[in-house]
Amino acid sequence: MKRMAITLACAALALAACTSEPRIAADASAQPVNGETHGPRGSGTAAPRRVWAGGDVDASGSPSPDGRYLSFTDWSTGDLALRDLATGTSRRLTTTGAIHSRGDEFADGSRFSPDGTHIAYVWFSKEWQFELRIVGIDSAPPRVVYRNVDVSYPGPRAWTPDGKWILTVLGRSDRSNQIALVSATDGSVHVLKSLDWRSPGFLSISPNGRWIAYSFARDIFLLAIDGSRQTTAVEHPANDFVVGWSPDGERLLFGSDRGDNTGVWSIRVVDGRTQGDPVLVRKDMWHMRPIGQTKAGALFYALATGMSDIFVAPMDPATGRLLSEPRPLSKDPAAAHNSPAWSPSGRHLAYVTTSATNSGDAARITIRSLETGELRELHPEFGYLNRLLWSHDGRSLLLQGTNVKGRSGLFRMDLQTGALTPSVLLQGEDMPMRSVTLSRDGRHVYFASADTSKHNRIISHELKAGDRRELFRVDEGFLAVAPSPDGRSLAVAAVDEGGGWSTLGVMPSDGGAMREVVRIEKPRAIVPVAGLQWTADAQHVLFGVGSANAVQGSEQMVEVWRVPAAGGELETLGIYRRGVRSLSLSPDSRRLAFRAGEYSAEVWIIEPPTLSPPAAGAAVPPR
Amino acid sequence: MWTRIRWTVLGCSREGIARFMSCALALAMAVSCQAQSQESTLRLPPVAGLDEYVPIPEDNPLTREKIELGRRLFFDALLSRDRTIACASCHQPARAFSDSARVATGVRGQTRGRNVPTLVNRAWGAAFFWDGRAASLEETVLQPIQNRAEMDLPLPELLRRLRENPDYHRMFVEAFAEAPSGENVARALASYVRTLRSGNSPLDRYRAGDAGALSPQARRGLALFVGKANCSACHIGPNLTDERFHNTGVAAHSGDPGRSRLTGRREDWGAFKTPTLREVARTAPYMHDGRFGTLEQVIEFYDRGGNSNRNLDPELRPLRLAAEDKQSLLAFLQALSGEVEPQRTQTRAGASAAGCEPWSTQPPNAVDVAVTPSASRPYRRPRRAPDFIASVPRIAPRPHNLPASRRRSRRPRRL
Repeated sequence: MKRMAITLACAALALAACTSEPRIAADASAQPVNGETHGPRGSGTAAPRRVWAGGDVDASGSPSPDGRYLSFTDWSTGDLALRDLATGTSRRLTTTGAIHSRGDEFADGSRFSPDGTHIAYVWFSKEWQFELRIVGIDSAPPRVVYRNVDVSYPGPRAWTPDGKWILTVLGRSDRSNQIALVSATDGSVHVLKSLDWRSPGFLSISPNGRWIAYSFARDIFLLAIDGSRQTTAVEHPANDFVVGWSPDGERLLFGSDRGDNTGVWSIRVVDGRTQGDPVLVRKDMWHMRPIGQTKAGALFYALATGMSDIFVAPMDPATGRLLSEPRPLSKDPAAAHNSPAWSPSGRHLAYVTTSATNSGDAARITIRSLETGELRELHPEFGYLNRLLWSHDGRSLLLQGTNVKGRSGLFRMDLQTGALTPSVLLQGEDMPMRSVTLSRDGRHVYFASADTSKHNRIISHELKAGDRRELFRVDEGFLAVAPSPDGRSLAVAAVDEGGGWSTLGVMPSDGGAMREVVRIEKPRAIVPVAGLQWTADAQHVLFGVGSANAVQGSEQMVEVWRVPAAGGELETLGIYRRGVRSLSLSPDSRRLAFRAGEYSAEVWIIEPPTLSPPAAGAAVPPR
Repeated sequence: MWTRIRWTVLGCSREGIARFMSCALALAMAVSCQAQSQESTLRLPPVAGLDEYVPIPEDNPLTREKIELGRRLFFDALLSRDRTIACASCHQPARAFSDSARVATGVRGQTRGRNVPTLVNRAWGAAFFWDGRAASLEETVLQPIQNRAEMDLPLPELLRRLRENPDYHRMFVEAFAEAPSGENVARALASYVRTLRSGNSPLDRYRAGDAGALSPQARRGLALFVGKANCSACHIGPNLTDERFHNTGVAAHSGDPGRSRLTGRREDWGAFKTPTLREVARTAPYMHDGRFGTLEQVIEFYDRGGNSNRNLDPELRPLRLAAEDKQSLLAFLQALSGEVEPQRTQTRAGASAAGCEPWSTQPPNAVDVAVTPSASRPYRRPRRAPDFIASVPRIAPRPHNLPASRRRSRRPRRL
């Protein structure tokens, strides 16, 4: 009986020792591969090293598991391409990209499979639908894995270690986002977790395949790969974002601006729960954007270089000549500026500012006094801010872009209260607004927009009643519009998609025939993104001219011209700069403001040893 | 080691041996029960259209025993003072766990002025009750029981009734290894409510890739829902709710302060939680006070931009929907009814036991909407106005301490 009691007790203890298995098999065999055999300066160096720089850098892809290749989008054609980091050469994996020609098709957001033989990527098809595709790096034909009319963007973020599932963020028609697993075999979908209008940041699967680390709303969460559990990994007032994992999967790496600027931190993770305090492993990372990790744990990240600023030049309104060279307003290397908008009095200039020191910061609005240089700032709760307009009465700013709920359109921000209200919301079938401008009396908004048949139109939207009219249409091509100061006319620029021709004309503001003022043939073309501007006396129109091969590119060299609205000789203003956008004349036409600058990026790599927590008492190395 | 234990046991008195065996047996039973609970920790099977991740509190994992206990409590009028009302009296399975009354009716015919919300998919809820006064299901479920205008049963009395009932006592021990307590009543009820789910609606099937799941008219309704009608400004995601609070003006004339009663903030006055639209065709009447009996009335309300008041949510504005638009929206809303789980429920006195049936969609009848042209007006030059930037905070110029090699710009988004 005694023996029975003891046996009973031991058996019961044994019974209690049971665990559950995740439903999707984890890859328990993932082990860090020792070192990398390719790189400009050899492998295993402790210091971060730059592996790619230049104007053709695109950081929308990911590194191969061995770190030799980087997938990216070749924006000269829109094709998916492969960069050989050892030789510095690139080759395209697809051949049907069609940027800046009839029927845009292009690749975006690519991710290498764990065995390095395939790449999952998003493809924008001729049917104007984003679809998830897989292509072999041996240039085998791509295949469509997933396509759904209710999913506006299926963005691949990672593969599970067994190569069977693609971790994807699905952008839905109601602008919500979902973290899902899409089968690489048959495209079946497991929706793990739905979010709201905000998209998660970087996602990374742990080396053992059991956990998905993702950033959301400035914090970091760990979601079990089978959707069974979620824990909060990092919760802090700072902006925290996922960077990756240590090769052994025991530590989560994340970026945070809780210090002077963004640094890489490390925290221990056991069974989906963090343990202990985060440790700073690398500081001064500025606005690093993680791209991915190799199997050995080397971290690839992107840094955007280059600068855009607002330039202002005094003008003689009678002759249209610049009185001096345009001067940059900000000269701040830590920020990018865009979309200048004059106040009705002409004493202030508002523009969009994006911080370069923290990838999580939303854009802000800077208001500068041209007389005193005094700066003021607004921080609207907004998603993507593209363009700024000042209302005719000076009481509000109009923000064109996408709000935090993913609605595209024009939103009014009261300068005194900061309240944000929708003014013009794009309906589901419209493409995003382009070339949005406001009539001088504030009654009408004019913008270019494409309909479901891909025809570009000029739309007039009356702000008070909400009435909308189509004033002008082209079957193919790009449009820009600007209302005259007296409100009676519109300047309209129409540009062929292939850049074969471009024309600038004037038409009545309530519709009617367009009278052509100037026509430009290849190799040059009007650049729609530079915008159109009437002089205060409504006698001339300013516009930008660039290469016909890149009419929609904002980074090409652009020359600013003016032409009499009644027709006549073209005159150059002597402005010839890269990336000219958003021409904006002050109300008295005595000053011209515009954005100029060029975007460029670099890709860097940090080896795993330098991402380990430093020894006690050791200094934390900077980038 | 075994010899040492044997000698230790043999060295004890008979009483000592008996005590040892009792302890060992009790330990074995306790560990076994714990092991059984761990083994029976449930994961709800996936439902089409719903997330596979179901938020379950770590201190209240799902088990069959808890769910069954919660289900039994849910349908038991024992939980009301006069034993006439159960949770299911208002949250009726046949009506997607809501009811058809304008406002909830409690014991002695008392009313509270708030409509009964559906309980489907509350496992994913972030705020509970129309004013969000509870942050979890565990926090929610005991409140109607104790509320004097609803079931009016104080917690001590509830526990006394449960402890005196041998069946309940046994079920609580099976589920929690202890006698009934307030915390465990809440956990059991919350566990049951978590199993109440609605999915596999025509919209879910459409979103999964079945283009034919929605009629053309319902598809037009979906386009309006996420577009011109702006419904998805608040009704978003699988449960078609942002779980936040908005003033749509429903309380503008009734004077119900809504959320502000909890927060004390003026800007929350008249704000109520966005309800789910799952099963909306079956959960009339609508709004926090049940003032609208039909979906058509709700659509008309939003078409005119809600009721103007000082806190009206800026997302509300006159929509100027055509009659065909409204019919399309209606067709879409009717496509949000799917399959409600659990399908069959056993009942106690006072509750209904009808099963749930899917709602059929309307036949297609799509009509395009015409754009109305505006009349032209003569141009008048506006007066010059000052710049209203006095309220905008000033900032100091930032020091430029970055080397030239680190100057940045952000690439504009292409789409």
